[in-house]
Amino acid sequence: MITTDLHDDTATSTALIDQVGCLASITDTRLERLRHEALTVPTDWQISYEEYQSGGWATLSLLNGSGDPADVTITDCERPVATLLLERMPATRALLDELGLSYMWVRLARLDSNAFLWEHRDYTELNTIERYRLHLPILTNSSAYLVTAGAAVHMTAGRWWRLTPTYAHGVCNLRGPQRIHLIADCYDDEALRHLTADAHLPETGVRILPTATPDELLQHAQTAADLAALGWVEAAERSLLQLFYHYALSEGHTYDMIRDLHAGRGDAAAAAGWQAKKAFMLTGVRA
Amino acid sequence: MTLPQSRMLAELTTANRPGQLDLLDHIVGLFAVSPAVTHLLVRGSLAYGTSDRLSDVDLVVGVQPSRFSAYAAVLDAVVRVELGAILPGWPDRIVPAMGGLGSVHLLEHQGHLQQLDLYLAPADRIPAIAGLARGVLVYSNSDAAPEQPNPAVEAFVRDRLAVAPSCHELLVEALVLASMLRKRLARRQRMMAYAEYHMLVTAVRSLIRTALQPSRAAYGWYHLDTEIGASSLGRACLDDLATLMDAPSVPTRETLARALEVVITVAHRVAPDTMDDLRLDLDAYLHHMT
Repeated sequence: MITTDLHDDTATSTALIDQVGCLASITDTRLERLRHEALTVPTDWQISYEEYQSGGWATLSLLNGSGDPADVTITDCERPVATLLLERMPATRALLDELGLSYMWVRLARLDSNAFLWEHRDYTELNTIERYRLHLPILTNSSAYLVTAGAAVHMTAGRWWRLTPTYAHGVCNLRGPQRIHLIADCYDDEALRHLTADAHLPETGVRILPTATPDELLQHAQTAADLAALGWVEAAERSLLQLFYHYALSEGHTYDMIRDLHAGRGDAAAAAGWQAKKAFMLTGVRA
Repeated sequence: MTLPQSRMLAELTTANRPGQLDLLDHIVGLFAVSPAVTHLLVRGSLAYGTSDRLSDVDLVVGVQPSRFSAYAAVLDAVVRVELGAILPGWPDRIVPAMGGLGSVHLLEHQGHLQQLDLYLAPADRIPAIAGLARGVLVYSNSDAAPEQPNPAVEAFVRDRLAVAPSCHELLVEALVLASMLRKRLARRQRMMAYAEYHMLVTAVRSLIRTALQPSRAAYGWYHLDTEIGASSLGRACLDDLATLMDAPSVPTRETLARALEVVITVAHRVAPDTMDDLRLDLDAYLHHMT
């Protein structure tokens, strides 16, 4: 079991609670019903946000502007409607109805084994209205975790989690099996404030990531250079992107390492491309 | 047979295509990206047409001799990053010596544990290996310039094989063997199950000796009881080892599950740092094994 080791690190825990916190639990019986629906009803999972991911992250909408579950590119939406998928998931629908939140968009998100959402910020393309993201893990495993503020947070199944995705963060499922979360983007209102009032860090499941020594970073950079020299350029890039899930690194550092990898190979265009990608992933601004 | 019937049968055949072939396609595409790769040769049941849904993917990777050591150094990283191996690769000490280096990897594929056997060989050895292993060539790099055998490869392979396994490798060996055994039991392959169970017990013995008495790790069973049994920790490990030795020499599913518990208990006792390093890997492994 991963344990919380934040007792002696007030700065990290303060930063972390702004970014992620656990909320109320649902009952085991209800979780089993939701899990059954999530594993048996959805089909035709949609791959989207491809720039943000390694492959292996797919979603379907439950509440959105069109009612089409395949419409998964989120936008501001003040009056979302139930999709055809949600209509076939009565236990999930009842849960969402009971909460009575001001939903913007609600999705199911599946993350396969060895799949990653790379370090990024969300909501950069949306209005500046106050909004939060809630996660309800339905199916997960110990190697699936969120990284933010230099900590790895394994979101346990069966309880709500509040995430502030305007902070840089990334998600991984290192070893599988698949992870399925219900993700609700909600506008700020009284019901949301009530639900999130007691947001706190959990007793278990949070781990401060180690700081990489210069020698360790050099070793990883060398391995990536060796991979690229043998023709595995994408594997080299992915090996560096994955460092975000193993070390507490400064913001955007893995993108800088990839830029430097390509500069070292004499590929100025690729180096510039990764510099631009860093800006896009962390600010939403395209160069 | 009418045309529609023929088409339906073709569709059924496609629908029932072993999942390993999709994985094999993916792996061939991945390895062929590297210009250092000269040949890819499928071995085993997928090559012979005798595969089933439990079959390994068994591949010989021919590499330019001048780049052999560089390739060997990053192979595990490629398999981990690109194929999502759930454990580090196990340096295969069962595979016959064919001038290269073998490794066994466990991947999650389509929700199941899938074994991938790789044999990395210098390109000049490929014709002999193809004959010996009755392999099927699935890729050859026509752009690769022919290279002469490189004596440095032989020395590199010899040195690699001479290195005593670490606790990390021995634990992975035991876990891989347990996975192989599960497959043997499902297929009722008693002879192979017997052989692999003996190897598993030996791997656990080596793990204990390597962790507690590294200077005499190569002494095998010799004076094991007196030398390891000198401390309470050692005696607890010997008790665990005796549990494995006293179990049926051809395991059942139940005794294999018990053996796996003993492996993990021993590893916690003698190699806690290794267990900590492999914690997430082990969780994923046990998900598939239990």
